[in-house]
Amino acid sequence: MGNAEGKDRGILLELCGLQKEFDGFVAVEGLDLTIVEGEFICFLGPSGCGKTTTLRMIAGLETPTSGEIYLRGRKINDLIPQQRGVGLVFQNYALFWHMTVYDNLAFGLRIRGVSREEMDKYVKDVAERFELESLLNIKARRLDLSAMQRVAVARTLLTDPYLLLFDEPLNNIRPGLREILRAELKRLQKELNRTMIYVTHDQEEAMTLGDRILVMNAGKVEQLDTPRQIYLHPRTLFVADFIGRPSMNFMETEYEMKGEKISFKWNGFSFNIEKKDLDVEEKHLKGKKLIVGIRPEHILLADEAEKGGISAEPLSAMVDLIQPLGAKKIIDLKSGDHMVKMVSSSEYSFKRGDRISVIFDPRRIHLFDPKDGRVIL
Amino acid sequence: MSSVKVENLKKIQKQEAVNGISFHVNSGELFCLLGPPGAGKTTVLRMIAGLERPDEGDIYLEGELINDVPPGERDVAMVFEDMALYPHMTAYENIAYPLRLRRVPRQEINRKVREVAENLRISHILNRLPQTFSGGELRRVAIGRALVRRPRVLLLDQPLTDLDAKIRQQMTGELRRLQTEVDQTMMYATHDFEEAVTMADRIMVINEGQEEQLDTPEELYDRPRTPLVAGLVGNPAMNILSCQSKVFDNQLILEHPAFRLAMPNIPDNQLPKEILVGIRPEHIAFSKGKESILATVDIVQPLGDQQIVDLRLEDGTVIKIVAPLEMELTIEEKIRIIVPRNRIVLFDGSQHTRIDLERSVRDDNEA
Repeated sequence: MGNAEGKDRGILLELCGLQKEFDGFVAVEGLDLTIVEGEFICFLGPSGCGKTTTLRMIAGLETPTSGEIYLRGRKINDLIPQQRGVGLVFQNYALFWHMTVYDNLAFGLRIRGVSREEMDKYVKDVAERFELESLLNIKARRLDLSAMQRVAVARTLLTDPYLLLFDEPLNNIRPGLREILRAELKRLQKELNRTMIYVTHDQEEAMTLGDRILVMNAGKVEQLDTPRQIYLHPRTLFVADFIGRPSMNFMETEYEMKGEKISFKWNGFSFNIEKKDLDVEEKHLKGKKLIVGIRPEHILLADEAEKGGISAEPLSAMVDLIQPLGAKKIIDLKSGDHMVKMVSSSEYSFKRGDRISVIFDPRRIHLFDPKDGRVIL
Repeated sequence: MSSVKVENLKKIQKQEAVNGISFHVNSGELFCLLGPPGAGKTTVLRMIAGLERPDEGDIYLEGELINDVPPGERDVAMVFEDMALYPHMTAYENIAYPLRLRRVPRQEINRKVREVAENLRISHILNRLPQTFSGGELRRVAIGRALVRRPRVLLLDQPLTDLDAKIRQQMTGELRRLQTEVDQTMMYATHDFEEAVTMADRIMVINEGQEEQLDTPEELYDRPRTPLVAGLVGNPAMNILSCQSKVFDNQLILEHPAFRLAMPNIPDNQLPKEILVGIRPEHIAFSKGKESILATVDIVQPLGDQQIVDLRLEDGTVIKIVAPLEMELTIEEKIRIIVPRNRIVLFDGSQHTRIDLERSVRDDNEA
């Protein structure tokens, strides 16, 4: 979405071969990235993957070991943070808790020596847009979280940055409220039409917020794509495992070509999948082993799949655990010593200990090379 | 015989007060207390553990009144929110500690600790100190320490809070499986509905020290008794829209500034003027039918194989719906939706209680 629209917009930020080393430890390795105006980009990965370091280099809080950062075509490597035109919203918002909302908003303008009347006008304009007018005289520590978020974003916007950076702002906020603040932030970004980079380790947050997501692991880019592509077509085992809840099921299989079918052997039994169903070119199949990945929501009850016109060889498995979750159920299936999880939203009558017949939706199967963990296409 | 029985329990205090709660927990049951922070969940558990005295009410354990029994003699174990492991002891020593206190023979301790460690999949970390544990390991060891002496009731106070969503979900499955296998009576307090519904046999939703609803996870989801329960159980939460009720031509009409819903039947008793209509995001369908409602796509948030879509109705009301991930939706696009009348829940606008119409609501607008 953001991607397609972005084609006719200007390039805002470019990272070229960005690298950061700490005492020989490579925190960020040769990162290339181009962001267009108006995009919402999430940096996603486990702690220590280099996402925050990258953000800090863009903000000017860390100096790259090598590589260049361009903002609107201008190299900003050597500029101090205040001169870059980049605004950073910190974890837990870092407001001045003892000051009023007005003073929090005015702070940046005041230190830049903006005249009193002008400052007053800017603050009141932004307060109106962020629905903060009635809160201007309230101390920041007395605000609810939604208002704190709005003050933090508004305060940063008043410095008139080209690019807004967020460092895990929703980290310590309880579930339930997080989703609400997240939706507000997304709406705000669309309304303001500002370019934002948002760092998080929470895959759901990244999926719901980002126009595109940069998935990082151990200092390197695993994938840069839209949330939809990342979910439907993960490029590496790491991405496939990291995205989605419950996680994708993985099976290390031995495989064989049998005419129009590929036969996978796993854990004492085998299943066949028609080649035409798989999005794979035969010439890329090398070696004897493949990792088969299937998301829990793409394991289907065999009779329902058949009704829906999806055919595949059914597998028999024992129901080990059923966990209701609103309209869905998370079901643990046991096959030999192995467990796979499925998520089903269908009405059914089976219970723990029953044997049921399921299929792996053949159009939704992912194949990975066990040697390098990359997807096979 | 119920394992835990609580009658009219009260604890008058400024925070986390309990204001007259009664329930019974069956032997072998996983019973959950679900409520927002400060609802009184922890206080209930602490009173059962004997760490706090109730101001009123009785607590029975396997039929025996235990109000005056000291905590050490209740045979109840509790896992605290901060886990409270002994930092200088290894995982093994932490788990063995309650058995050593009871002078259990060394060989038996060894057998029991290893069995519990295997159940909790922490055999490989038994010789390590707590400072080296991951969040998940820390919780497993704390649960192991409470479980090892097989107490009559195991109380867990928000043990999974602060864990990453994915690990939390994985641990609910493991805990539930373990609880069923060893047939341990458990009480579990949480503010997270996902933990509650994925683990519990029954859930008591509490708010401000009082019961909102006590039911199975399925019933809480399908038939919430108050708007608070409706808002707490489900993600995204149920849409709650305020409507005016009118009876016209022997039909109940629910009027909202952006739409009207004609219900095919009316209840016997007088209806309140203001009715809150609860609609689950996942029950709203796309349809161009004659009773469909015009809406504008406001924001789209992909999540797994679905996307959560905020829609703006004509009067500016924002509602959430759930659409398949395959569906291409653009911001500001106009679409038409339909609300299946047989799946909505009605609440009295002032009393906040559920209104049940006759059960035989026709299924006519799903076709």
